[in-house]
Amino acid sequence: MTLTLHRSRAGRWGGVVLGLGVTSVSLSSGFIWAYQGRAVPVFAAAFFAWAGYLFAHYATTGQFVDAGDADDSPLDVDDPSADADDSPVDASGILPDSAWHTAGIVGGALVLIAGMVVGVVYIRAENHLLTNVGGVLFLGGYVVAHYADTGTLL
Amino acid sequence: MDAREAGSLAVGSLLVTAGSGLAGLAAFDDRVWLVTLGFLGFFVGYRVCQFGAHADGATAGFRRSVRGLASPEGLRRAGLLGLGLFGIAYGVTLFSQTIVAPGLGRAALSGVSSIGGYAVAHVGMNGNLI
Repeated sequence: MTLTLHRSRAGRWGGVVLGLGVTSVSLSSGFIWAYQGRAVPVFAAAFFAWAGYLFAHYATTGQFVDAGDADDSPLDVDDPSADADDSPVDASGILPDSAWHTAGIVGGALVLIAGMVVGVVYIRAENHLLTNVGGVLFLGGYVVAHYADTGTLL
Repeated sequence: MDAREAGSLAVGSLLVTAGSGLAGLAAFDDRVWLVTLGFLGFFVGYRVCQFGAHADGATAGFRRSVRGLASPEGLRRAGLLGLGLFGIAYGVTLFSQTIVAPGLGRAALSGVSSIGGYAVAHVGMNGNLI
């Protein structure tokens, strides 16, 4: 893989915006198609939503997914608190260690919920364009909360 | 990216796509256990993607997961993951049903359940909230 987006600030942000943009468009239309009971387009949308996320993750970290290494291994109990080494969380590796980080997580979650509420209105109206307002709020809230908890965008 | 990493990304992505597509469709049919199965497919697919990115190789990544699971702490984590998965599935099903028939209480419960479920599942998977 020769993509080097993650090596520059502009590349990271551009890649995240482009990748999550594809995810938002796919999620928004995917939910509307699921509401309409149209199976084939739903699976196509699910694929592009995931592909957009992978691209955005690659742009910001240099990897398509976080590697299951010792410092980030799901269900790996060798060193469960290793995530705390370079992220703003307390020694348990679970809760944030400052009010600012907590505010970021709570604020991000509230924006994400606002995105779900907006989504309900426009999915119901079967409006593909405006459902993206909900999609952007949902994904933007996730990025804010993720940054507050881990120090990385995705 | 080598062939092994590309292979695990392709297989994992197929599972993620199948799982999330199934979850989306079943949610509007109000079939919460099918939605849970869909999200299980998503999580397994995500994990398969991770195996290929593992620094020690996909096999080592898989072995670490099995070793981690076969311990009291691993089982506790797996329990949290299962609980969180159901919370997400229940929340997403309620979200979809809120689209079909809007209701403030149902909307609020769907948000709490899906976000709470995500946090519990993520603690089970990775040991941190998000």
